[in-house]
Amino acid sequence: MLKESISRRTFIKGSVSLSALLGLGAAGTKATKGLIPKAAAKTNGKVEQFYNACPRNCYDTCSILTTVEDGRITFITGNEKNTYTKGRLCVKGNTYPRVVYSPDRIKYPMRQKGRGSGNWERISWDEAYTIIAKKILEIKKEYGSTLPICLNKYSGNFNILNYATEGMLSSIGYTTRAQGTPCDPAGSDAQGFDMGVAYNNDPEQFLDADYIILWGANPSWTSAHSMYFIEQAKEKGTKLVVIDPLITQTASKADEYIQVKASTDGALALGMIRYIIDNQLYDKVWVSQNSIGFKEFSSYVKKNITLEWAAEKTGVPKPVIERIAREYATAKPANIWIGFGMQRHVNGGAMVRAIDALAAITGNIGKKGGGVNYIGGETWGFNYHTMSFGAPEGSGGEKDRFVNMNNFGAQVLAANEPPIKMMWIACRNPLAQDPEPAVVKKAFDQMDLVVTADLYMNQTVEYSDIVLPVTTPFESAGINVSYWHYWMNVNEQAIKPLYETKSDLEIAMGLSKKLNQLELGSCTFPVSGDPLEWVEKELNDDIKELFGVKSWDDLRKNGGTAKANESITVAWQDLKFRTPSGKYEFYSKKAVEYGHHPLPVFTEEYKAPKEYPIRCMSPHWKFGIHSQFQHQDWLMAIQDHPFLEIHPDLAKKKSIKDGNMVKIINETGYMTLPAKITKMVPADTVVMYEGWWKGVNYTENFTVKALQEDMGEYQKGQRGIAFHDNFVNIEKA
Amino acid sequence: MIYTEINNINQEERLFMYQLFLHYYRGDLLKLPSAEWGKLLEMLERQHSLQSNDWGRKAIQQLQNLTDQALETFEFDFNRLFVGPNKLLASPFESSYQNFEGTVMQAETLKVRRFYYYEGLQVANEGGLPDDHIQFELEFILHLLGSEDKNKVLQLFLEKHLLKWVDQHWARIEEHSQNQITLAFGYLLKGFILLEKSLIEGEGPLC
Amino acid sequence: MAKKLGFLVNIERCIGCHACEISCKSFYQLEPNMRRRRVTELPENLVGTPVRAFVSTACNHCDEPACKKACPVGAYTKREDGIVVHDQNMCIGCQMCGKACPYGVPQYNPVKKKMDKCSMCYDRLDEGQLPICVEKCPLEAIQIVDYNEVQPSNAVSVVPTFADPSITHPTTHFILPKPGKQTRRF
Repeated sequence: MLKESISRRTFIKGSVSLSALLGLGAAGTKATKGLIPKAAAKTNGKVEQFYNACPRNCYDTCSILTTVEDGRITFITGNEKNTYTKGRLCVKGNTYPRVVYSPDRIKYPMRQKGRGSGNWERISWDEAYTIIAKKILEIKKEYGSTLPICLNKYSGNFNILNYATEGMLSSIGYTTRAQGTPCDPAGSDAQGFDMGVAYNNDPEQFLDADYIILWGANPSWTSAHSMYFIEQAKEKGTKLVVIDPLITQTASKADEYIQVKASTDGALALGMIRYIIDNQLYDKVWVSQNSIGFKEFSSYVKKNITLEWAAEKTGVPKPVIERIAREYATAKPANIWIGFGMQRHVNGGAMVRAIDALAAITGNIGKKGGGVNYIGGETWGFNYHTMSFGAPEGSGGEKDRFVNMNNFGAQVLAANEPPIKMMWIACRNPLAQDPEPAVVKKAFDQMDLVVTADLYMNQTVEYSDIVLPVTTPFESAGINVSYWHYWMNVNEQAIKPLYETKSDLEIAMGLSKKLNQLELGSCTFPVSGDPLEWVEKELNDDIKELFGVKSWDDLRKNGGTAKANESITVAWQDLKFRTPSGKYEFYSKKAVEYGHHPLPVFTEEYKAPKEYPIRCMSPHWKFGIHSQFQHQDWLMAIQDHPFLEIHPDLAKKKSIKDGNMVKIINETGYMTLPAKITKMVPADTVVMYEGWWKGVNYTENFTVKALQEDMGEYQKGQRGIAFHDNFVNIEKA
Repeated sequence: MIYTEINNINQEERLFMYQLFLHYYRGDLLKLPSAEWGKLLEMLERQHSLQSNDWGRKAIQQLQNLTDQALETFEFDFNRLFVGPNKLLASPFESSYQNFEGTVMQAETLKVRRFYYYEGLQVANEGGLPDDHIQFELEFILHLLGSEDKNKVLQLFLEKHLLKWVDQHWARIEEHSQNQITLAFGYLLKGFILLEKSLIEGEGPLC
Repeated sequence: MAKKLGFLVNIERCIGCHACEISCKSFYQLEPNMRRRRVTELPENLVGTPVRAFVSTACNHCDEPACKKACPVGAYTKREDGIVVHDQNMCIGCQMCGKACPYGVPQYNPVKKKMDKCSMCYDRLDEGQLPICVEKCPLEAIQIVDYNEVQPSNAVSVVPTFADPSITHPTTHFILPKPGKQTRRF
């Protein structure tokens, strides 16, 4: 069209030479790139609404209502049909329009000439697929298997269809996988030993609690929608107790706040248990009918635990322990929520077992409004169809090889026969979020090829060879559930994918197509398919029945969100535990199998080295989930730099004033950041919040060692990281 | 800034310049072999309007002294400024300037879209690419150029859109450009835009 | 009797999350530094025991709006229901209102070259909807109250950082947090 209109011009001659030189014909002829005749049916001002699901690694996993005008998102808010989301989003979710339309998104597949050089060239998807596929086939040929290819993918997007990335890697052969989770492994093992698996009550049932203990959890910042139910419960008379080393935003809302020494929560629980047993406040019937090993546990407690010891250990005075123990044991029902942060210690698993025991002896497990709530996975029974294709015939190796996600750098470097030569990174930013980022960087240096799929430039993309631009939740279909609430949320495609972005599923199909072009049969992953067909394949009869939906499309048409039926929303209501004995196991042979004490005993906390006496904690921050959201300028406009919280006593000792730059250092690394003097942190601890802060050349993990938690192998394959056993020294910079 | 021969810019040269910028922003020049750069330079040297303004002369001077290193790093710098994957140093989207926070696909984008619609056009990948990418705005202008009856539309479009933001765009190029070619094209743009503005002020025919 | 609409901000419930501010910004597509509602950190010793406390404020829709008095072009009106409305079409961007307001509410928008402030979403209210900040607060910590009808007994008219209400008689009221019990090591 344009070619015609321009060629009609009388003075076109002057420009012909230019176009001829460029070998492109007259400008405007590349119709695929430029302007075309307007489609007749186009109308202005068309308003539509779509259901989306926030797929981030968050308790709240919100159902979203997206307003689209003229193909453009104008407002994103919560879906009122979801009684947990309640029509509103957290502060982060409210920034989604900016996430989608920031000019700084990664737009095209690009290749970096020289890792870390910042010299990027734009390539087509076909070129990207070709480079990657050729490398995969080359590795396969050289090493006889695809084991030198390592996938590091985790929680950046929990849309079920995003498991296509794992599926794609499984479809090329046996590969190396970053296994485990930095989130919850020790606590999940603990609940696994005690009850068979971690399983939590519906958080909407906080309203049914008579007493709530938030133990190392800060839902004000990490689960605002849960905090609503907790505040409601509080206003109707439920007592809210917060146990935490820090005066968190949630602790600030408590009827009673108890400052425990970090990593001694297990001692506090055991002290309470001693008091409850001594005073015959435990539920004898529950214990005798539903548990094994109570006698052994009880005798351990009587022999080893005293309230004096617990008070000394935890810093909580004996009368307070006694009073809280009595209140908790006599409230019916009483609810405990264990935060993930509480178990990020070398004794985290053992501490969760002790708190579980407290809930068990008081008969609070299996009750609406009660429970010892940590995490759950009851609603995740999808088909995981994207992961079902298996290795191609004749794949070298026998099975996937695992490296611990939590010690990724060191284990990648240590892997041999075959070594790891290529990395695929999706839904993760390991160079910011892993401990010992310097070691992770060394592992990158060993690679022939690093491919990262992401939304935004970050530390990991900066150090990759190829970056693939991915879609936001609003540009592709999917389905999401939560590890906390009991809703299933539809994710519709609300707008066209911007630029050349693709979903992980489309990338998987595209790469498979290329692999099969280059070597037929080298990848079993389907080479094409409609995302809507893919998403329907995720639902099986069980999950449809659980949520009372006919299909994904049915749910899309009917509110976009559905709650699981009540048969599963009270954890362990049937009191059939998934342990070897079928009972709650105070005494766990499974624990012994994994090298632990059979009972919920106290194991010692990590002791501060002499040169580095100050604990540095890095809890979650209200404007971010790991390295997502905080970098958005809507949030940078509120808080644009990291800071270190320091108690006035410690600050005085170190001659540090509010706003002074402080150097924080240990044997792993150092960084310098401004001080915020506050009584919210104890005087033996400093706090730096987690998150990717734009414009600084460090992350909170610079001083974090890959120190293991005590548990994790049973439920998650690998142990977690004791992020909060990070000891440092500080000085005025 | 002295431009003595403003009126000398003829329609042919304007068409040439718009086409050149379209090719440039579309990325067509990224793969231009080094020998061809000489030919392009010759063409530029023949443009009267360029020789007659400081910015044009500066641009040509840059290109005359083009080093191999500049040719090698041109693409990287171009991408840092206009493409990514990092934060764009000189966003090529109008809404990044008209809209205070630089968000794309906002009201400004839709206003540009309405201009295209008025002329019976649309972006091929509408919704997928913001309509106010400079490449599309240039292509739209090329569409209007040469039809006298489009004079009014072109003037409106230039005044309400392209000319409203390219100065800021150019300022960011000048601030962040590390390469002779991207800088030269920045100068070319700056000089050309001044000529276009004076053409409008002088109420000369635009089409 | 005419209405006297005002915000009632429950600091006891507020978790300082800024969702009110960002949902308002998103709904009205405001620039990053334009904040019709803003969340401010309060002193740690607000209730005696140290806590993290925040207060969310917007335009206080005062009984005697200083902005209205200061505006040379009459861009401000006070509606029957008490809402102070700023007409951006009339505004000449002289910023007199911003200087006059003891709360610094009207903000200069350098792009539009006009002042900008919260309108209590009066168009939404007129259609029977709630203001965005009220509807979108995850903790339901912001309410609209007709202070001619109700005088909440637990509400106060001033918090630290908030200017003396005797100047312009703001309608905004606050519910202060109740101090909890604390067992601290430090």
